[in-house]
Amino acid sequence: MNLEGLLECCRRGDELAWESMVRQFQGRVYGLAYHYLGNSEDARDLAQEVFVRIYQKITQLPDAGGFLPWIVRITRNACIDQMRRKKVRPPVRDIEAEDMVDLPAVGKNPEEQYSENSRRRLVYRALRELTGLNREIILLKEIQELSFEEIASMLKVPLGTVKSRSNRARIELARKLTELRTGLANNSV
Amino acid sequence: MDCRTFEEILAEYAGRSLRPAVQAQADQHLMKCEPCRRLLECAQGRQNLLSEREQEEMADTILLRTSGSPCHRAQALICDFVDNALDRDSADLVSKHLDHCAPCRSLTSNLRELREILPQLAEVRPDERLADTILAATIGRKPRKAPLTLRLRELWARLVRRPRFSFEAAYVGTLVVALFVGNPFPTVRSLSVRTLDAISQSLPRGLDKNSPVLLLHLKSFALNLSSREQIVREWLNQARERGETVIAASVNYQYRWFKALHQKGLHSVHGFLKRLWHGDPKSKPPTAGG
Repeated sequence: MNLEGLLECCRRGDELAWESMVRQFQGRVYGLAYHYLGNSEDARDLAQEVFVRIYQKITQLPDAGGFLPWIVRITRNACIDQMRRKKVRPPVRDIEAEDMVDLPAVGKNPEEQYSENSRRRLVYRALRELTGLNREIILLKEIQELSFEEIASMLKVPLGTVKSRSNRARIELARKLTELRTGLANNSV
Repeated sequence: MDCRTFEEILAEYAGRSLRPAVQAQADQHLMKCEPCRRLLECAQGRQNLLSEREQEEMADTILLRTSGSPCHRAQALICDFVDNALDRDSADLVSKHLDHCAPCRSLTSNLRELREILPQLAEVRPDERLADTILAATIGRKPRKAPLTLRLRELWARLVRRPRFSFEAAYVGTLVVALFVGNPFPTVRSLSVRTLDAISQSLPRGLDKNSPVLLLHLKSFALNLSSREQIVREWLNQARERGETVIAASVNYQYRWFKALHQKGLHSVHGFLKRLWHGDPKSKPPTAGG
């Protein structure tokens, strides 16, 4: 069943369709929450919260073309609310989130999978060192693959700003990656 | 034609714009003159007298003195270059720059890697029961009972994240060591024997080491200081009359230490008593804690 059909069934209250939608998008919602919150437990709770909110508006689901930006917007807003709340009561965290995250690796053998996972973790660490608008743009453009227009609307910044910042954010991320690799190489020597 | 003349017409010769007669003379001269042939090759770009490193250095120096480093311009185009969104000419220029610029090359390599990896981070695999939990919260479907291994794994993950986990682990580890290895600290009985040995080695002069020691320990700390002092003086007098040895002991020892000594047939007394025994007129009564 394609996404449009799935959404239509969900609007009609089909529980099987809802289950299918949950399973199809839980990874994306959880992943986005994880990138914002940096904590798998918080991401899990927030992902549940997002789906409950979506379910409460299930008759108003957008069409297939607008569904992904819509779900990303809801998730992002929920993450920002959560981060605001946590600023007031900073959480106690013993273990680095990157040590707990389960980033699926697509490798043919364990060695390739390990190498792939190591690359991803390094990218993730570089991503976490970005700040502000640059990080948001990478999350929304390069990771969630939203369009410039959708991102500009979500972040409430001019379209030109998003376009110009997009390349700068990528270059900044690439530079962070170089720094981390150089740091790792120096430590291993 | 001589070499000087050939040098003067070099540009026209390379451009094939000489009159036929002069061209023929130049051809004839080149057949006999090796240096002029090399000069012609240099002029036509078929021979470079600089090494690769010298070429790089010269190019960098020229650029610094003229337009400045082109990296800034290259990096403005590098994202589109990686996305294959540049026109052919611009892509060619960027590519040529990358051939000679290691930092920009590294940046490009990272950008290509990010282009491949970042979309793969869009979905992060949650734990297996997230969907069940969501369905229970929305459509009220009862979640399946997770397998025991998964529940144990989740319990362990929750325990490990607690802030006091490291302290609790250290505490449990110490208990385990104590259970298997035994109490590393001496028992009260063995402590009392060692302590008594130490005390016997430090007996005041004139006292008999072999005579029994009277246990004088006030159980009730509710008495005021003057009452305690009176009781202790009376005990001392009795001890002197019986010829018993009175040995000082630290006020910090617990009552059970005294009890252990008593059970072994040995006695000790409060530290304060030592001063009274020696009849030190300057002795002061102990503090309330003593």
